[in-house]
Amino acid sequence: MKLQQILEAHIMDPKNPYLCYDLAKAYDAEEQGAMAVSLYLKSADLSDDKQLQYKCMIGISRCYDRQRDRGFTVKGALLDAVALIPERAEAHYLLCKYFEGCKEQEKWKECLMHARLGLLAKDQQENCELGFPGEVYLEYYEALATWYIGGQQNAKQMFFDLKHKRVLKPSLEERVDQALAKTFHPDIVPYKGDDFERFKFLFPGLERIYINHSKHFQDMFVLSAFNGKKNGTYLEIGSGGPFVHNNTALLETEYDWKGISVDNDPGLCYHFSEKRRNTVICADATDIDYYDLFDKHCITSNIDYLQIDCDDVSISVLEKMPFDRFKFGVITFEHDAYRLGAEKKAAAKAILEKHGYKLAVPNLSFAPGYAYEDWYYHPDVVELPKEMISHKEMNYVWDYFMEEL
Amino acid sequence: MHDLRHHGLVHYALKRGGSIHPITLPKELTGETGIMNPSIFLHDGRILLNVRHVNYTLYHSEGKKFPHVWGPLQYLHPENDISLTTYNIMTELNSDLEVVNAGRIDTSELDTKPTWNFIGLEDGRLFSWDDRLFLCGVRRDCYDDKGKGRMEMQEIEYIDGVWKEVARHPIPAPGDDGTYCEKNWMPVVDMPWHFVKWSNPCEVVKFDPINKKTETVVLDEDSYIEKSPRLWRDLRGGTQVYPLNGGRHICFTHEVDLTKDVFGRKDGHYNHRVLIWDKDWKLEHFTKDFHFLGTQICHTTGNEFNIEFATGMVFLEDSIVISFGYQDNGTFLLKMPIDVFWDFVKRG
Repeated sequence: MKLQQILEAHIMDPKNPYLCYDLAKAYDAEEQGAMAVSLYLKSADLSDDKQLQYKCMIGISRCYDRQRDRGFTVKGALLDAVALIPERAEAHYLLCKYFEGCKEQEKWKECLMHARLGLLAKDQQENCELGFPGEVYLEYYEALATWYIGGQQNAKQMFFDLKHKRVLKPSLEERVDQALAKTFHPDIVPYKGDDFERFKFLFPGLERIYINHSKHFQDMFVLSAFNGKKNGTYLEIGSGGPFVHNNTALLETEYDWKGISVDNDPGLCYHFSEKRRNTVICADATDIDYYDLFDKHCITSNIDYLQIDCDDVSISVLEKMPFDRFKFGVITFEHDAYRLGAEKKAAAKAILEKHGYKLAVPNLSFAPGYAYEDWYYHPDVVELPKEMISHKEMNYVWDYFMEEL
Repeated sequence: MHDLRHHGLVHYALKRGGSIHPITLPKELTGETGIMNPSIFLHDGRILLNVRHVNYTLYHSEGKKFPHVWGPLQYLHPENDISLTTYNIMTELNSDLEVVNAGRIDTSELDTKPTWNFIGLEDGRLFSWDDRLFLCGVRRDCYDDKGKGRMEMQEIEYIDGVWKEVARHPIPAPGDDGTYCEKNWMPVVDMPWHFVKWSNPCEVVKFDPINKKTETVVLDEDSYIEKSPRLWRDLRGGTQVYPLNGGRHICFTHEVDLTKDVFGRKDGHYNHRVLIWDKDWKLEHFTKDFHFLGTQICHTTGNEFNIEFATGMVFLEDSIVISFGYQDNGTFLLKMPIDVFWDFVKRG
């Protein structure tokens, strides 16, 4: 309907707030912000319908926002909307947007508050009329505000979840990518029970795993390779703590694996010994005689899993492994090529291939472009499902394990 | 009688064959801030309409349910610019009263550095004398830093596709020119250099552009109409003043109730009337006060809320077109069949 006709309808029934609102919208749509403001205000004044008044306040904020440099008024109209119906999401979202554009550092706490209040709303469907693109945008602002307030891992994790667990419109995906690039990717990429439906390599007991412990799915790789084997064995070099970022905790606690862990940090080893059933040895991994170690622990058969995670000396440890007497079903080897270059990675590959190991997942990365481990298997010990063998040069851990949305 | 106060003159006209024409201008020209107080005029066969464009958007919560934090009526200019700046946009209309072209009047050659923060020529009335086209309004940006205002005539011409100000004539107040602010003088279209400065009692002044003097040529204090329930406010300026037969003249004027809310914050309420003066400039007839687009009313106080301002009119064949602004934010043209208009004037 033409503006003139809508205007006439309003004039013939000037106390009707809904016709007045229609006229306001028509002016708004024609980018006649000033007149739209007058009519939104009039409609809100004429009405006692809070839903209509709410829409009017958002219309006012939108018009002043387009006129630029009237932020105080934009904010005021949005606060009027929140005061009318606090449990609706749209005004909270728009306030997040408003605060994002402010200069003051303290804005982020207000942004976070409105993001979370918006996320409490019952209805979070996209509402084009009110400029609300949907709840995922509130999640974005929650992450953004959380990051700027604390700069901690939880914010990175929120961005990660947005990127990998939500369907995003291209414009938001671009912003999330920028945020991840700016904040850098989270230190860990955990498996959570919520990810079950998307996990590619199902194995018995997967449905019971609420959360894993490895930084980047190493424990899930081992369990997938061995199809959820019970009572497996491992040698874990560079174990770290008993649970946090540990690659064997899940194997021990949920699948009754036995094994030996090695670390050179006395504190971590003490903690490990207090919390875990299996053995931990506090020693420099490069000083250990592994033949002797295996003899002392009466290890006579192949071992299912070998972890070597010793930063700069991983290659030295690898060179000491008794490959002539033992085979390992799966090896996760840390080469840190992203910071040390490809030389040590290549040396390790030569050693392992000489002993019959095959590369299952080359250049596992915790962020796109940050390759730090290769994952091998020995076909004499484990028959790796072919879908677990990656032919990609680089393997971002999330993409390797998870089906696309 | 039609309820002109609550429904408005536009409603009245629409029911009797009239039409309303919303004027919109491209956002590239306005930035979506207020366009208001338009002045329509027929010049050389072209229907011209000057529109006042400002750098603010009026926030007016008439019912006061949603006042701005600074009050129910606020001029919201950019937060980094406290000036209230006016630009004048000249448009040409076709016979259906649609804008066919629009452009800001170029005043750059005669502008001076502002001394106050109300900048530009405000509420210009468009008219021509001796085939020269003028825009006449109030300017407050060049006299002092306290807002002194004087009427000013801008002579404008259409040069190489652009409306340009080619001369500027500040108009002193009559007498010793000692007043604070003069505004809303109404040009008398058939009497070059004459303005109706005040409506009751009628004061007609004549400006001498050569000697830059203004003198009162008509002022009959005895013709003052005492305030009464039918006429209880001052009659202020409005549109141009047009001649009628028998030496009479007609125009639209406005009047204002200035109010404050309980916190002392200002608000306002505008009404209009049609006035007819006889050949001696005695008020021969005036209509009841009315609004154009109707009003809201507070059921507890009886206060009405409305801001409108008519600053132009023109007789076009068998109709009259009145141009008016709404809430400092909108611009409208009301077209009324001429017989309907005269009937309204007679009965009003």
